[in-house]
Parts: sequence; C-alpha cells; structure tokens
Amino acid sequence: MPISDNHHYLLSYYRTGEITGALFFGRLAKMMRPGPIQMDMTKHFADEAAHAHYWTEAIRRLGREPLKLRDSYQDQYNEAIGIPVNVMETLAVTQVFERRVINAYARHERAPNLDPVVKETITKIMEDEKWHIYWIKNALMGLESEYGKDHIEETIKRYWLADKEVYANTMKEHEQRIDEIMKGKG
Amino acid sequence: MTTTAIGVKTKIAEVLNISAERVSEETNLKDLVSDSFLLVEMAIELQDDFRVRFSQEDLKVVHTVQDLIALIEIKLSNK
Repeated sequence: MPISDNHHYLLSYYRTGEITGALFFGRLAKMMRPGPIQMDMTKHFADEAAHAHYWTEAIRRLGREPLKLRDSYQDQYNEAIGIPVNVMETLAVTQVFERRVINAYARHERAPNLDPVVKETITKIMEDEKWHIYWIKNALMGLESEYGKDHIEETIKRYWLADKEVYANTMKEHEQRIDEIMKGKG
Repeated sequence: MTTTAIGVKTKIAEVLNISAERVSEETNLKDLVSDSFLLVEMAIELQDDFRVRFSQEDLKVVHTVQDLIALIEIKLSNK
C-alpha cells in the first residue's frame, strides 16, 4: 500500500534537506585547502548525497515519487543565523544542525506502526549521522588554538538559540503531519 | 592603491570569475555577489590569504569593497 500523504511529504522534506546538505558541504569542500577538515568534509557531502538517494529509493519502494520541494530546513538558517563567515562558524552551525537532524530522525523512528522501509532507511542514515557529529566535534576542538575555546562555545550557543527559533517555525508548519505520524496514523 | 586593496580586488575577481576592472572600491558587494554562498567562499579565501579572522559581527558593517579593504587593514594592524 502506498504511504500516506503525510509520510510522503515528510520523507520528501528529508530528501530535499539531504540534497541541500550535500550541495552545501560539497561547495565548502571545494573551496577549502586540502587537509584533514577537507577530507572529512568530502566524506560528509558524499554521505548527504547518499542519504538523498536512500530517501528517493525508499519513497519509490513505498509506491510514490519524491515531491519537488523548494525549501529545506537549512534554507531557514541563513535568515535566522546569518551567513557563517569562517571555517569555525561553518562547522559550528553544522554541528547544531546535525544534532537537530539526529533528534528528528530518532523521534520519527519511535513512531508506532512505522513502515519497515522508513525504519531501515533511518537506521542506515543514523550510522553516518553519528560519525558526522564525531568528526565535526573533533575538528572544532582542533580549531581551539586558533579561535579560542570560549569563542567556539559562545558561537555554538548562539547558533543553538537561533536553531530553536528555526525549529519552532518548522514545527508550526509541520506539526499536524508529525502529530499524525507519531499517533501511528501517518 | 595599497597592497591590501590590490589583493582584495584580485581575490574578489578571482572568486567571482569576473574582470578585475569591474571591482572598484565603491562597488557594493551585493551588486557583485548574487549567491550568498559565494560571499562565504570569498570571505574564507580572503581570511586565508591575509591570515586574519572575520566574525559575522565584523561583516555586518561591510557593504562595499572599500569597507572590506578597511576591515582587513584594521585586522592586520591589530595583529
């Protein structure tokens, strides 16, 4: 049986977010000087592109075609956070964003009556997401001598506050869909 | 024209793939950069080239190429 409209929309939203992430990290990787951060960034953008593919496959296995959506979660970041202007700020915003992604996927995974295809896709993606958090955390620690530990922590805190605002707006938009899914009706 | 001004204009032209003549000190950066990501790219490359660090706060007051040159000169003099 094809998935519900709610699930169809949400999975397409995830897919668009992964595509946006791949493009963002791909461009960052291209502009960076070769080195450990660039190496991990390259793997990161390849993962995001693979995740977009996993969602495309999952949506098709569930009997639908992905929706073409214009906006993604990340697009709202520039508005709320401002454009990061150095490598540290870019990694800090990414760390905040990746934690939000993990929380969203973990919440979805707990939904009752979750289709095995969705569950399998989330589980596969979560493995990569854990590594994303790990490498970014290490990269930020490596930048402490250059930017200062306190300054990095303040930057992350500032981005967390902005993320809460973006998340609240997103929830307003998607609350009904997510509620239905969490009640096992999605 | 200072060495910093030449370096900044050259880098802007290089990142945006435009002729250096199009970049004057009065030029508004928003007129040159339509894509916000290019602005990030330009900022990161300028920081690498001049070995200075910008913050979002610094860039809030930067509108023209001259503002950017002035910011880098201040950062260099504070080193």
